[in-house]
Amino acid sequence: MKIYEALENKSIRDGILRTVRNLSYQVDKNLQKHPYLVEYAEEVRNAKKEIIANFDFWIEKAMGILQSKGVEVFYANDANEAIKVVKEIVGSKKIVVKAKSMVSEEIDLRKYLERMGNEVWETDLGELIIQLKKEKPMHSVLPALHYSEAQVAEILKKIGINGRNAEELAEGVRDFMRKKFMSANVGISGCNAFSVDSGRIFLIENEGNIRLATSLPRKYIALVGIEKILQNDRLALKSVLLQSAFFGTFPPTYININEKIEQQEMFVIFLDNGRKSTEFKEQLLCIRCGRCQLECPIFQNFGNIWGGSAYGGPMGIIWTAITEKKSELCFLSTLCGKCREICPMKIDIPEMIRELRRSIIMRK
Amino acid sequence: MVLKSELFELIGSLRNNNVEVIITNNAEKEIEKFKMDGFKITRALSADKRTGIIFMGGFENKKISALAEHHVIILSERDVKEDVISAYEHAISNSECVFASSGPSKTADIEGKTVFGMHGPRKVTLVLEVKNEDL
Ligand code: SF4
Repeated sequence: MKIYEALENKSIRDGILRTVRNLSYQVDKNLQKHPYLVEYAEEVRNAKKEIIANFDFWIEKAMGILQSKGVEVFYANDANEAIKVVKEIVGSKKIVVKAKSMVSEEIDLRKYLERMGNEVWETDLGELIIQLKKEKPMHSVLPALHYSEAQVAEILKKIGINGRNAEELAEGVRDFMRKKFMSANVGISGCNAFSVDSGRIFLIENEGNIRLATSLPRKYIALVGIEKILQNDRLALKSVLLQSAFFGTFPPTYININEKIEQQEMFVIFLDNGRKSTEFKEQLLCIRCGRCQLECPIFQNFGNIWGGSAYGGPMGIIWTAITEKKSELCFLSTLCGKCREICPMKIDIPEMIRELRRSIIMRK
Repeated sequence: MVLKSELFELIGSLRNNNVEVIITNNAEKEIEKFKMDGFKITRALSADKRTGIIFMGGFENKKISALAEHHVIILSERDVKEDVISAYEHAISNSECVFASSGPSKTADIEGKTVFGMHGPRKVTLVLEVKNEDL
């Protein structure tokens, strides 16, 4: 979808505004009820700053702890290297169950695995809808927020699921996906936070698909953006709790703390893809709560179409500059500053957008 | 019934998270009625009174916590902790492969409508075991 087509698409605006109405109030409620979260945010911000300032040191430690536990560890400088490693681990003609992961969107992983003759399933309901529509997610946490119940019913017919309402459709997907979980050869997830101290991968969710996708298959692959590294379990736990609280759904229904266990082969791929060398280091503090997207007046009109091939919205404009290209779409920002105001990590996105604009103009 | 204030806080958090709570001084007797198909029973390692996040341990239990239709969790009063970090640290000092759940599986991916039992349990019951003198 092109950017101005998005503007004409009323369902994007309606879906986002419905979500904002539901969740903004929830974020305020979470912070009132759990004021300690503000302190957690400060702690996580400071810890991430230290990691970003000394990436090489912390990456080496992270890889070392995993190796000592019997995990196969890889470092990918870019998307191509990451895809190559995953392709080698997975092989062909496998059933692969995926947990929703923005890093896997960033490297467009599903497409490559499917080309090798694998059956690959997005197991998060919203992400499955997007997979079937062959689109990109409209929001990093709620990928299919722009579809109505009736539209979802039509989309799910493609895999033989029939239902008249959200409950019947979810039931159909539950049954369909259970069979896939039980027969899957490989499970793939991203990582919300990684603890260097223990080598544990922290992942939050509400559906239960991540728990099933990462514990039932014999092979488990975790893709970890290097900015997800934190010093210890306490910080990793705080970071994932913040992610959920600042999105609006708190507490998360599931906190998965994945580590090497005897019954499973585990592979971890750390992905750089522009992170270490970026001039926009401040964006690496991002915990991907998605709040700046929902609260942004431009995102409310364009959704994730305002961005690159994976990331959209205020954070997405900068993430795209880090991982893909400097996009002229940054000139659509009003620089109203709402994203900076509501960001738990106090990231100054407007300042980075100004910088981005400057460098695009200078290039011309 | 005389319950300590932290237990009241935990019960409030659990109910907010759509968890059914049973308070008893004899958990073994209480769970007898759950010993049939569809129910899976796990012992919790700890819980945070402020959020209702329940920590459990063991890889098999982890799978059960997602595969069960109805997940029944037994928690002892002495494992109720002041905050989520204390609850986590208590859990990892007592078990391998720690994980947490806070309620039934859910989704809001279709028009923001909440549906329970998306991929995991449709229902979660917490059996809170308290001392005799509290009942
Ligand atoms: S930039 Fe801030 S508000 Fe936006 S997703 Fe990242 S942490 Fe959340």
